[in-house]
This record gives sequence, C-alpha cells and structure tokens, in this order.
Amino acid sequence: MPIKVNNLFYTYLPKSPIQTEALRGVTLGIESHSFCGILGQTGSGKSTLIQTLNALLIPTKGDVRVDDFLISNKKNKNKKIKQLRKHLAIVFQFPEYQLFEETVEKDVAFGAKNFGASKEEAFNKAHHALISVGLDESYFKRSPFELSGGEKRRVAIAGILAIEPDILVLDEPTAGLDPKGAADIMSLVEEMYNQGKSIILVTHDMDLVLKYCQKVFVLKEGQLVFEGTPSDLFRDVESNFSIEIPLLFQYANKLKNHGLPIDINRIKDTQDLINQIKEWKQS
Amino acid sequence: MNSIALGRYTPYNTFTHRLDPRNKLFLVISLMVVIFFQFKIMSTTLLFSGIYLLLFLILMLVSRVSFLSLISSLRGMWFLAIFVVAVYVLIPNSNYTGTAVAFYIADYPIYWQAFYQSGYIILRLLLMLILMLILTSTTKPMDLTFGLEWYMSPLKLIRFPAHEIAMTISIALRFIPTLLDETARIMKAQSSRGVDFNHGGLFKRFKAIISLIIPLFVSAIERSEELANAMQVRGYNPRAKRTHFHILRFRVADLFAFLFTILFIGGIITLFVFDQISAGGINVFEIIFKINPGF
Repeated sequence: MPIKVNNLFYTYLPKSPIQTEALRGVTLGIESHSFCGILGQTGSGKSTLIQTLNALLIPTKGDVRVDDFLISNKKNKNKKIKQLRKHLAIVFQFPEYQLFEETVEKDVAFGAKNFGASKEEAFNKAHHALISVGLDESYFKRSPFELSGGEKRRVAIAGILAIEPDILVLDEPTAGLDPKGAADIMSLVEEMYNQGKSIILVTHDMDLVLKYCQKVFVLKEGQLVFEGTPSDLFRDVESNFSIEIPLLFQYANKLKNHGLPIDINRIKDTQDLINQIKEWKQS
Repeated sequence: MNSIALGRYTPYNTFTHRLDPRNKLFLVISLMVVIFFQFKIMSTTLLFSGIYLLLFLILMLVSRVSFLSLISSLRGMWFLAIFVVAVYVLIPNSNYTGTAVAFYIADYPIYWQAFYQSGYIILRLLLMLILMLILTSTTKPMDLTFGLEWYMSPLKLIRFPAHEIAMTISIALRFIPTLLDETARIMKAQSSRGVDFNHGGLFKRFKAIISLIIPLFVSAIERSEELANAMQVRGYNPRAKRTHFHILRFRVADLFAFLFTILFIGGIITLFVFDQISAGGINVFEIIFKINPGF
C-alpha cells in the first residue's frame, strides 16, 4: 500500500493565542513494502505527521493518500476511516498506557474484535500475535497490569499486530526499554517487515535507522528537509539536522578514509563491517 | 475536546488579566450577590439585569474573552431554560392572581408574570455564567488558588489547614491539562485499535468509554504516587512556613477597579434598600421615561 502525502499542513488550536503550526507543507511518498524512518528533533512534527496518516488528525490543508483512502479536510466518511485504520495501524509511544482489559488475551483481541473479527477469530489472532511477540500461553490469562514494563509493551504491540494491518507505524517502540528488550522488539518489527508489511519507524536512535531503514525522511520545524537512504543522510549530515552519526558509521567511514575498501552503503550493523573486513583480508 | 477548553485561561495581557486575583475574586462574588437583588417591580429588575448584561459584555470585550466560548456554553443551557420556563408557566402561583393573563389553556390561565419571572431567572444564570467566564479566562488557576489561600489564611489561627487545601486544589488544577492531554493520547491510541468514541450503540459506547477511563485512572494514580514521592524526596512539609514565588500585588489599577465596582454595587444596594422600604417599589420606567410598562 503506497502512501502519498501532498503539501500537508497541520495547525494545532488554530485562531487562538497558542496556535502552533506543526506541519508546514510536507510532501513525501512511501512505497509499498518498505521500511522507512521518520527522524527529527522533538517538536519537528513527526508525531503529527504519523497521526494524519490514519486520520486521527485531519489536515488543515493538503491531503494524505493511503492506497485509495483519501484524507483531507473536505469530506471524510467515518466507515472509510475505520477501514483505513485497519490497514494502517499506529503503535504509539509508550503503548503500555492503552491496556485496560482484565486479561492479556482479551486486551490483545480487543482491536481485532473492533475491526469486525468474531470472538473466536479475534482470540485466535490474539494468541498468534502474543506468541509472535514472544509471550507464551502462560501469559494469556494474566492481568496486563501485573506485567513488567517490557512485557506490557509487547502486549500492547501484540494488540496492534492482532489487527493485522498492512502498514505498521511505530512511534519510538524502543524508548525506555533495556537493550535486550529493545533488540527483541526490533527483531519482531523486522520479522513483520519480512512477512510483507510496510514499516514506518519514528525514532531518535540512529543505530536502528542505520540497521533497518531503507529510506529516511528528516523533518525540521514542520518541513521535510531530507529524503534518502541512511548512508546518504549520515554522509551528508554536518550536524545541521542535529542528528548524531552512529559510531559504527563513523568508524567505517574512518576506515575507508584510511584506505580500506569499504562499501559504506552496505553497512547496516557490526556484522556487516566484520564481514567486509574479512573479505578484504582474504583478498 | 474543544468543549472542555471552555473557560480555560487565555494568555492575553488585558486590564482584567493584570488585576490582582484576590481583588477579582472579591469583586466577582460581590457582583454575583448584586445580581440576585430582585426589586418589587419586575420591569425595574429586568432593566437592571439588562444594565448588568451590557456592562458584563463590555467587560468581556475588554478582557478579550471569546464570545464563541460563551455561545458554546449556552448551548448546554437551553434545556435548563426550557425547563425553567415550563415550571414557572405551568405551575399555579398565587402571586400571579390578578395580574395580566397572557392566554388560557383550557380555562387554565397563563400569566405574563410567569414569563417575566422565568426570563429573569435565565438572565440571572447568563449573568453568572459571564462573570465566571471572565474570571476563569483572565486568571490563572494557580493565581485563583493563591487568592483563595489568602482569604483562608486568617482561619489558620483556628488550625484550619488553609495551606494544605490550597496545595491540594492547585495540584488538582495543575493536573487538569495534563490529564486532558493524557485523555487525548489514550483516545488516539484506542481509536487506532478501532474504537469509535462518537458512533455506535449504547453498549459499544460504554465499552469505548471503559477503554478510555481505565488507562486514564491507572496513569493518574501512577502520577500521583510519583508526585508524592518527588515531594517527599524534596522534604515537603505542609506545616512549614513558606514563601511564594509569585507575590500577589495590589496595584493602582486594582484600586480603581475596586473603587469603581464598589461604588456601582453601593449605588445598586442603596436603590434596592430604598425599593424595599418604599410602598410600591421603584418604577424606573415611570420615573425616567414617564411611561408605565404595567408589570
């Protein structure tokens, strides 16, 4: 499902003394089955942008087209919005705050049920989603409120996965998790991508961007200032987007400058660098 | 969401915004008392209410209170207004016998007086509403609580926990916007999970509200615990003597506002007392315009 954002404006609290223009003419395109990142400082409009993608916010001006769903401030049919939300689901920052049911499985099945699955179907989807986030049967009947932070986050993400969206938008899914938990969540996201879903990742973690994203969009003060691959971004960036270049990338770049034949574009994580060094040693 | 923003503080810098909150509190309360003065003759009462309405509207304009917020709060009042009119018009009242009859419903007389009386009550509500709107949208909630604390401080002598109450109120007020943001956030998260807060049958809506309220309570309780811990860590002691970061000041403008309002209220009270002791009450229309409206 391709996404097209066309000259998008969004203003919070228009015509009041505290009105803020969060988005000022953003135009971008995201292809089907892609893994892309949205970057930018706090307050640059990232969250606003993703919320317009499934019509949680209606654009002040301009439009968003997800497949053939059009979101603009002109006409919006509620039934269509619900369909859209089934196809494009957002995992918000700290999603553990959205849990409310008595048992984990009920909570995970909640979204699926809302989108029209029968009770049985919804529970099947819920169990499937829970297993895929690494929570086994012993968790199904427990209360979500007695779980640890990382487990709650997984339950919340499972709740979105059970909806079976085509496009998954994640707003800082690793924020506040320990390194192991963060790695688990990200490998789960990668698996979702491999299953054919599009992933849109909002993050501040440049290591994740380097490792996973095929394409990144950088927002600054509500405008799109960069569009391209992570390696392009890290090569070009001279800290004008206040982006921190991943250490791995800096290291690989240094090696390259010292004469090692390293293909910067192919470096996603430490293993890639090791492999390239091995190749060079063998040759 | 917008309806909750009603009467929220708007950060302009007008004359009313700059007034001392203690002064504003006092003046608003005394004006409210004056609104309740009912003269013996209805036309006089209505005329005075009209004058208050005009003055309050001017005050609204000066304070840059949005008229839109007034209109949207009136929207919630129309049912009440119909109810008041129905009660006053339909329930028999011996005070009306002998006055002008508007019409009969199957031999049951409907008096003009009943309409005037209900109109007056609705007008009174409107006046109170405008006053509250002006007060809350020109005064920061924090300043209001400080003002309240100041009024309660003499009660400290009899061990009344004035500071604790003010602290509780100000914390509660402080967290209203935070909880509203939280509500918006949870609503969005649940909408993403297919919850529809605006449509659907009773049961579905009930479920939708549950999915909002439980996470909201969970986070509110967590927040309160965090806040309590943070206060304890900083050694908060409610009994300790403390100073304020914001010092409320009574300025020259306050003095003018105070004197003007007190003079106005004084004038009204004098007229009211005169009205009450005179035999037939003051008929302003007869005195000034030489006409008798007849009610």
